[in-house]
Order: sequence, then C-alpha cells, then structure tokens
Amino acid sequence: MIYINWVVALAAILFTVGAIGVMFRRNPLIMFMASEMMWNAAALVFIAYAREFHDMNGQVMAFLIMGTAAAEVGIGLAIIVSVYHKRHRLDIDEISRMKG
Amino acid sequence: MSATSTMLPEYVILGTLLIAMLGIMVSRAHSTLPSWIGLLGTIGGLWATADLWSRHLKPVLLFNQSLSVDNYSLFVDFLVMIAAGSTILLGWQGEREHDEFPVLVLLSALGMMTLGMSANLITLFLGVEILSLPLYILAASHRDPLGGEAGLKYFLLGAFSSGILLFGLALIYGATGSMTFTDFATAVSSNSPILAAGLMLALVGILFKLAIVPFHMWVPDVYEGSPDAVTSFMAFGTKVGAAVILLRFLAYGFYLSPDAWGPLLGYLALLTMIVGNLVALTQTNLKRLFGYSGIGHAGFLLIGVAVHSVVGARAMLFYLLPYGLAVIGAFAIITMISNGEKNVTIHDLEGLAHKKPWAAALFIVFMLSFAGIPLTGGFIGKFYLLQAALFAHQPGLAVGLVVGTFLGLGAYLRPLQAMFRHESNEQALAGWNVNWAQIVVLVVAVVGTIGLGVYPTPVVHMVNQSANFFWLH
Amino acid sequence: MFTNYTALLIYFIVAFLSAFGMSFISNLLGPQAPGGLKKATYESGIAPEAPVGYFSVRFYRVAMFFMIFDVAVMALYPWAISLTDLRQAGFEKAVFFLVIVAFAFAYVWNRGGFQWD
Repeated sequence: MIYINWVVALAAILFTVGAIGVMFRRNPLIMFMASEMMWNAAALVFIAYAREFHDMNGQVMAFLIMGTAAAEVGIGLAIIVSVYHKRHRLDIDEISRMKG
Repeated sequence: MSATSTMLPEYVILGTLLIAMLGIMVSRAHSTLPSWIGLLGTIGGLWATADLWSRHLKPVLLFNQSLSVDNYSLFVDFLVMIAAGSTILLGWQGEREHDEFPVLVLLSALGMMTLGMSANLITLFLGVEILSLPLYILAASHRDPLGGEAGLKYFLLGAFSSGILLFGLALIYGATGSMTFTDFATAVSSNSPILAAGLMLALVGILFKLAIVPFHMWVPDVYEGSPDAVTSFMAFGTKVGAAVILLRFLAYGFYLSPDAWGPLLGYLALLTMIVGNLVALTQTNLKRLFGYSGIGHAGFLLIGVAVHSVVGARAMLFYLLPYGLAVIGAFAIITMISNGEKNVTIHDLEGLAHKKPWAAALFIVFMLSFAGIPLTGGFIGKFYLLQAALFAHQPGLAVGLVVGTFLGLGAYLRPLQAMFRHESNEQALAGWNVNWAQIVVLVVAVVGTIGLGVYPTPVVHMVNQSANFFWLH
Repeated sequence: MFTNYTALLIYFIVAFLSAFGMSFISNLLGPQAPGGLKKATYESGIAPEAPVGYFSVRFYRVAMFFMIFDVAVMALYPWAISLTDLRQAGFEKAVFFLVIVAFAFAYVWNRGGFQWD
C-alpha cells in the first residue's frame, strides 16, 4: 500500500526541483523542461488524490494537463527554434561578411 | 435552457474562428477576409451577449457545475468582445502579413470568456491556458529579433506561473476532495495546511497573470517586444480574464475565510499601486510606460478583490471598462505613430499638438482617464474603488489609491508635455499613418471614456446586476 | 520474504549489471584511438557535407505535428472505455471533438505544413 502522503511528497520534490530549475538555469530549453516537470508534479498530485477519493475529476484533469502540455510544447519549441534560427542566421551572416 | 442557447456568445466566437480559418484557407495570402470574419464575429458575439442579458435569465450551472452563466459572465463577455474587436481593428494594417492574427485573438478571447464563466478548477485551468497559448504566439510574431525574445520570455514565465497555479489547484483538490469552487469553503476545516499552501500557490499563479508587483517583471519587456495591437490586447484582455477569475475564485471558494487572503492581497495592492506608478514616471518608451502604468492599474483592481465586499466587486468590474477603453484609445494613437515599424518613445510625440491637433486632443482624453481626472470614466472608476476601500474600513488602501493616482498623474503628464513641445526632432511623426479601422477604435474609445465620465448610470446598473453573483455562494 | 516479485527484482539487477558491465568493460579493455573519422557524423557511410550542428526546421515540424495529433487522440481512450455508459450524448461530443481535430488537420494540410520541401 502506497500512502498518499508519500506520493504528494514525491510530487512536491519534483515541483521544487522544477521551480529551482526554472529560476537558476539560463538555457531556455532547460527552463522549459523544468517547468514541464512542475506541470507533471501537479498531474501526479491530481492522480494520487483521484485514486484516494475514487473520483474521476482528478483523472480528467490529468488528461487535460497532458493535452495542454503538448500544445504548450508545440508552441514553446516553435518560439525557441525561431529565436535560435534568427540568431544562427545572424552569426552566419557575420562570418560570411568577415570572409568577403 | 439548453447549453447551446445560454452559451451562445461562446459558440458564436468558436464558430467565427473556425470560419475565419476556413477563410484563410480559401483566400489568398494577406487578404482582409479573415479580419472581416473576425470583426463580424465579435459584433455577433456582442449581439448574442446583449440578447442573453435582455432576457434576465436566472444563473445556470452547466457541464456538471463547471461553468456558471450569469450576469457576471455576460458582463465579462461584453468586455472581452470590446477587447477582441478593437485588437482586430488595430491590427488591420500592421498585422496583415500574419494571416492567423484574428483567429489567435478570437481564441484567446474564448479563453477569457471561459474564465468569466468558470466555476471549477478544470475550467479555471483550461481558461488560463486557452487565454495564454495564443498570446505566446502573438507576442513572438514581431519581425525583429526583439519580438522573438519577448515571446520567449512571456512563454517561459507563463509556463512557470501555470505550473505554480496548477500545483496549487492540485493541492486544493487534495485538501477538499472536490473540483467545484463552492465546495471548498465547506469541505474541510479551513485551517488545513495543504489547503492553505494550495490557496497561496494558486493565488501566486493568478497574480502572475494579473502582473501584481512581486510577479510583474515580465510585463515591460513583453509589452515592448510585442506588436502594438497585441500589446493593447494583453493590457486589456489579460487583465480582464485574470481579475474576473480571481474575484470569482475567492468569492465562491474562500468566502468563509477572507482573513486568510484579504490582508495579503491588500498589502500587494498597496505595493503594486505605488511601485507600478512610481517606475512608470521614469519610462521614455511609451509601451513600457503603459506596461508599468498597467501594473499600477492592476493594483487598483486588486483593491476591489481585497476588500471582499459586493461594493468592491462592483468597483473592480466597473473599473475594467474605463481602463480598457483608455488602453485601446491610447494604443490606436500609438499604432498611428509607429506604423508597425518602431517602438514609440516620448520624443516621437513631439509636435503632435501642432501637426495633428485632433489626435493630440484624443490622446489627452485617454491620458486623463488613466490618471482619473473628473469627466472621464477613470475618475468614476477610481471613485468607486475609493468608496469600496473606505466602506471596508481600509484607510490604508484608500491612501495608497490616492498616492498611486498622483504618481500616475505625473507619469501621464510627461507624454502630454512632450506633445506640446515644439518639434526639435525632425524624425517625429515621419511614419504617420491613419486608416479607418483605427478611427473606429478611437471613436468607440473616446465616446466610451467621456460617456462613462458624464453619464455612468447605465453601466453602473449593469455592474450592480453583474456583482449579484457575490451572494450566490 | 521471497515473494513473486523477488524474481523480477533479481532479473532487473542482473540485466542492469550485465548491460552496464558490458559497456564498461569494453571501454576498459578496448583500444583507445580518439579523434579523426570517429568524431565525424555518420551518414550511411557517405562523407558528411552539410555544416554540422544546424539542422532543418522540417524535422522539428514533423515531430511537432505528430505530437499534437497524437495527444489529441489520447483523449479518445477514456471515451472509448466509457462509451457504453455515455451512449448517444458521449458519442455526439466525441464527434464534435473529432470534427475540430479534423478541421485543424485540414488547415495544416492546406497551409502546406505536411510538405517536406
């Protein structure tokens, strides 16, 4: 038997690790990964309590969190890729200008 | 009443955005068809809202108590329609190269409407996300590299704050065993530590979206890097969405323990009013100035929540309208000056009073409404907030409101002073460009601002009806 | 003490040790010759020519569309399990959902999202 408090404690640890990751890392991809970790910690709490209460709402919420997180990943990676793309192009332009 | 007829405004917007996508598919690139569809859709949504309002329906709970359609949600629909319609109009010329612009604006507006109706945790979360996700794209849509970075910053902090909000919601669910707001107060004894932690985390998440002072640092950069029309949408629409969900969440879920959150929000409101308006004094970039002054206005709005009374709810709801009208009016002038190219600074305003006196006169009206000068809507809004603070025996909040107003007045006078300076700057107003869409926004904004200042009775009546939700725990 | 799961635990330990042991021992005993061709990108035996470290947005796009539509389908699993209880109302809502997903698919298709070039 897994006690609910252990699961919530695990989720709290995951959440804290994610929050610290967002605050102290400076790479956008890592920061984004860390914030996804916070989302998943919340989903874990919802599922754990849904099992405890025999209530479907928590599981519905977990599904919605997964779906929304996927949409968020799609948009976020698009923004990160486009920002890097612009910068990368700029770097290449500088290099070619220096050669020519 | 079926769900389809009580949620008609939302269905109209959903249908409009699907039709607008269809319009993008059939028309050639950069056509005005999607914008026209979006504009007609917002007008249709306004009509549907007015129709529902005029029928005096009883409040209904839909979808297993997850959405509550009442006068409150209809008033929010009304505000959101103004925000979305004006944004589509302001982006008519400048956002032409982005075909999806009206679709994303309408999608974000749908999220705001969901927040207005939300009565449980699932719709709260979904509303916040539907509001935010299109705005991340819109914030990143500017051509220059600054735009991408604004979008990136907004996105990272938005995902972070959504994570905090979500964990808070999860803990609330764990402590109370229910998703519905109205069950929270009665579910367990209110001194459960998990419930307190959940409430604090959820509040932090919502206050991030509302840009209250310790959580405001993303605002100026994001406002500066986003396209002008998108910035006006963020300044108006996002504040509407975040403020109304905060009010409903606390008034439905935690009305039995106002001592747990009321003083906290009061101190934050005080801090936000002072800091936001104080920092606004030093800004030269107009969009950053409106960013900081928007933070200050969020502090004013928070008074209405913090006092936890029906008077406060009314004052907050009323204040959203003059604030939003002044925002869309001021941004209409900014889009005329910037022409979608550059960031407008105070120096770009020099000589406006001589070259374009009518635009300068309108700009003065909006600035005075922001500052809360009599005969503008902002004054009435600030008056009701002051009244709410005094009725709740919170003289500190009232003093903070007055001090914040005076600081804000200083911040708004600097652009006005620049307008009357003779043009030392030859480049000022070089890109001046006016189209009919901006004129429509200006007319609506100025009529609304002056109208609210001179004859606010109909809107006050509407707001009083909307705030009746406060008693329906 | 010796329950049904102990065998599984032993299996996991043995699998872990053998997998890591093999890679570790080969690293320890094998000849070391770093550098040169070993650092080059492997492209089916052909000498790589494109600048390394910069790859096309197309790959990302395919991955993103896969993920979005994959997760959209995820919502159908709970619906499929409870379809017998939900009856017609549930069926209508799923159709509504699928129409919107199909609409998004058509939109992406129309806008050229699925073209490789």
